[in-house]
Amino acid sequence: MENIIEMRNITKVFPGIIANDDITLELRKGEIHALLGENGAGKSTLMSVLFGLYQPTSGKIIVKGKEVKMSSPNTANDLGIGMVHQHFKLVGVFSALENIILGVETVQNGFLKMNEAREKIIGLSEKYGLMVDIDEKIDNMTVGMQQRVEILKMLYRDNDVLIFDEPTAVLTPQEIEELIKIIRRLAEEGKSILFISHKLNEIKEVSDRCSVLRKGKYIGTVDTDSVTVEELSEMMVGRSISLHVEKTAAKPKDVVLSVKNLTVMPQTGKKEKVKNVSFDVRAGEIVCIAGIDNNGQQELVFALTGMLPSKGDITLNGEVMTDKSIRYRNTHGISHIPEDRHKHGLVLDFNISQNMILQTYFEKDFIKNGFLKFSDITKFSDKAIEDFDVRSAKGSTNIVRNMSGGNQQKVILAREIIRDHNLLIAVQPTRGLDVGAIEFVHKQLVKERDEGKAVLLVSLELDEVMEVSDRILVMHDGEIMANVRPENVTVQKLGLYMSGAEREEAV
Amino acid sequence: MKKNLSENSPVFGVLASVMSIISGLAVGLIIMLIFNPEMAFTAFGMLLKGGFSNGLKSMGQVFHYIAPYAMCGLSVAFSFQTGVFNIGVAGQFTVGGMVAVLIGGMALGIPDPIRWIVAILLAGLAGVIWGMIPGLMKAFLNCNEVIACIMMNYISIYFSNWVIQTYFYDPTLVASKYVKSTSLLPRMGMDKLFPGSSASSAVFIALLFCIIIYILLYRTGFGYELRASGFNKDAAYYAGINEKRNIILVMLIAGFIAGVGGGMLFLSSQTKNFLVSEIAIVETSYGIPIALLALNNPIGVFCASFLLAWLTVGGTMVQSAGFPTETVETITAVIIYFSAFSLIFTQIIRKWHFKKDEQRKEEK
Ligand SMILES: Nc1ncnc2c1ncn2[C@@H]1O[C@H](COP(=O)(O)OP(=O)(O)OP(=O)(O)O)[C@@H](O)[C@H]1O
Ligand SMILES: [Mg+2]
Repeated sequence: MENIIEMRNITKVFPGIIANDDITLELRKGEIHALLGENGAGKSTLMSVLFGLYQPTSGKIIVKGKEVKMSSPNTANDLGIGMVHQHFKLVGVFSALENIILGVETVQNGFLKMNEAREKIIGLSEKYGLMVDIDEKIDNMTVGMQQRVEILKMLYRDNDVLIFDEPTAVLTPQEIEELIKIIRRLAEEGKSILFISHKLNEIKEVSDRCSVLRKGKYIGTVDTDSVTVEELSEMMVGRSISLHVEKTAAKPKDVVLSVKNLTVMPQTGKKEKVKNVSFDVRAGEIVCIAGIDNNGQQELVFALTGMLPSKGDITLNGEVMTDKSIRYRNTHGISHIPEDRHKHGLVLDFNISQNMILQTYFEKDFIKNGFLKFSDITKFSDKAIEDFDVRSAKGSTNIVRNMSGGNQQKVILAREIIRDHNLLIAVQPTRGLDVGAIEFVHKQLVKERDEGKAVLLVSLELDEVMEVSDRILVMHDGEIMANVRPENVTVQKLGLYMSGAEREEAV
Repeated sequence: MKKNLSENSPVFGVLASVMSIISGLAVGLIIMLIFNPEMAFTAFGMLLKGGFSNGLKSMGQVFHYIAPYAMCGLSVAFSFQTGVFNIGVAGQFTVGGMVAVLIGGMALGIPDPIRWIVAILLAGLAGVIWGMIPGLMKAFLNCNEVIACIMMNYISIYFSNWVIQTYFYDPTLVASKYVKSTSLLPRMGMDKLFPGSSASSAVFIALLFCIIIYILLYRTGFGYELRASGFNKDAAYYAGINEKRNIILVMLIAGFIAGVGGGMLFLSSQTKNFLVSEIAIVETSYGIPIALLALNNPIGVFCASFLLAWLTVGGTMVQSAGFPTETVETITAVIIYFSAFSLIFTQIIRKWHFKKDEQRKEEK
């Protein structure tokens, strides 16, 4: 089969780091080609080079047999290359239609020719099964639908090489299935697809071939059918990784967090998102909140951490917290790994060490007479970086914005786990992490538990729920449908609870 | 070999500011050429000569102007860094000036040696009150601080006019009476160094303010907290930082800086009186542009103020070449507009830098 894209000997150097080191990648026409590698291996950088966002330090790009200079995303677009970024680039107040035609509007007598565009888009969405309400504003859409808008945007521009940077990291399991169908459909129609993912099962399921990067270097390309998941992970990190979590039976002790009749209203809107919920979390156990996205998990976590007001009782270590401030809860035992790392978890323009002290800068370890103790802060941050294997070009002084997504997540993990606490609330803590890092995080959660901390894990991924938790609370429409142990329940049964079709008697 | 710069190196920021200034000057020259081609180059030379135009006096005037410019710019830059938009510098500066004129003129029984200090502190206090009102409204009523500040600016003008007209007015001047010579800021030898100018210790006080604010922002826990809020409000909220308290404190400090700036301007020379007019004090209009030009860095604010003070002094000379004063105002306005574009310049320079990099590699 012919190669539609060839990236030859691509090297991209950032100050202090070689993000891509002599990488050669070939994309065949009509194939689904996965790109695999640890956090910070250089996947996003390589794709940004192909899309014209970064200029390679050396190497060349050949599109359809011709060497080209990819000077900007516009050039890439003219050559039929489109990209869906991990953080979407849509205008929130515009409709889907307006976003799709943005930049390529056709104008007649000074008026936009909307009708033709509309017809073309509707045609495309039917052809590929991309269900989108094209007159809805982006802000009112789910993440999954926004992603479909991004895909339509590429198709509308007649792109035939489609790059997806971690498209499934932000999706719910249901949406992932949808997306995989769509991607298959696209490939059948002759589009060539580059697909970044950390989920090996997904890669096995959708891709024809898979290229592996490790620490900026090209390791190899394999036919996906001819390798096992274990072999893939070994290529990626150089050792085999088990996604099975080794742990002993939990030995729950005293109640750390006790929630009674908790009711929470959303930030906007009038409908209760958490409805009269009660549960306990004990020291030495991992309790997992399972459920389909947007069934009140976020509001529940915000109420526990003080980020949203609530009615009912939240008791931590015997002290009523319901009306306490975020700062008070932070300093009295709660650590919180937030769901949205860019919005809440990090100050992207601060460096790593500044982000490490986000909730503790006022403590005596870091401040004296009002002045920050920079050398102590750096020492603290250097150690955290080492303990949690956070990779960046400049260590503690690296601006967080210039780090790979997975390593940004590790900064938050390190901060929240190191911080003094006895309840760890972790929301989707492994989102965007490579398998090695996921293994590491799961181990950390178990270690926390074994050290006598209470862990409340919110996860959308059933595999994670079943592997890590000691007890599962299933949430549906703001209510707890079931309180079960993983060994006493099947994935199918969980699915029924999650969709609200069944409810456990005792709850 | 040239050093390889990282994508967000501060060098790009400095270069961008310099580019804004050069572009502004170039457009200024074109305007002058259109007005009066024969005299244009002479006049442009005069403008650039600035502090060197008229011996030491001009240099002294440059130092004189730096103080109010820097205080206004600092007040804005400080608030911008923390995510609050203090557009109310004009109002805070005006009430500060008014209070200083009253105390400096009427003495009110305050003994000579400490009168200027008391006057300036009370001017700062007036600025604090003026700044806190929008701060409190923002924190407790969620009122947009920009709109509240603009209203406070108008109120400051009419309120100050009324106070001056009631207590310390000279109808023939349509302005306040002159302040007592014993109320002026210490000159600290600036009058000896730069005879005939209005230069005083104000410039040193302004520099001190810039340094203190720099340390506050970059070295203290409080500054860390403020900058975190400025960069990412949601993360600051998550971290438990008390945004309401900080908005009020920021407006309080910004108001104090502007108020002291106003007080110092009116106590720096005996010929400066408080005009009863419906137009804001001109010095205050430089606050936002200086902050932009300085990319909100307190030390940058002092440098940008020096530059604008230089052009202000040069500008007064241009009249002698037959150009109306408005030309100078136009040129400064153009520079200001370009400084607003400094972000775009930063991008252009960055692109250009990396392109050059590539070309060099291709040549190899
Ligand atoms: N703009 C930048 N400036 C400096 N260094 C950068 C920049 N972007 C990325 N890097 C560095 O380059 C390396 C590769 O980053 P990249 O984002 O390509 O990783 P990745 O493979 O996509 O990882 P992840 O799976 O975590 O998203 C990282 O070490 C990162 O810190
Ligand atoms: Mg990435």
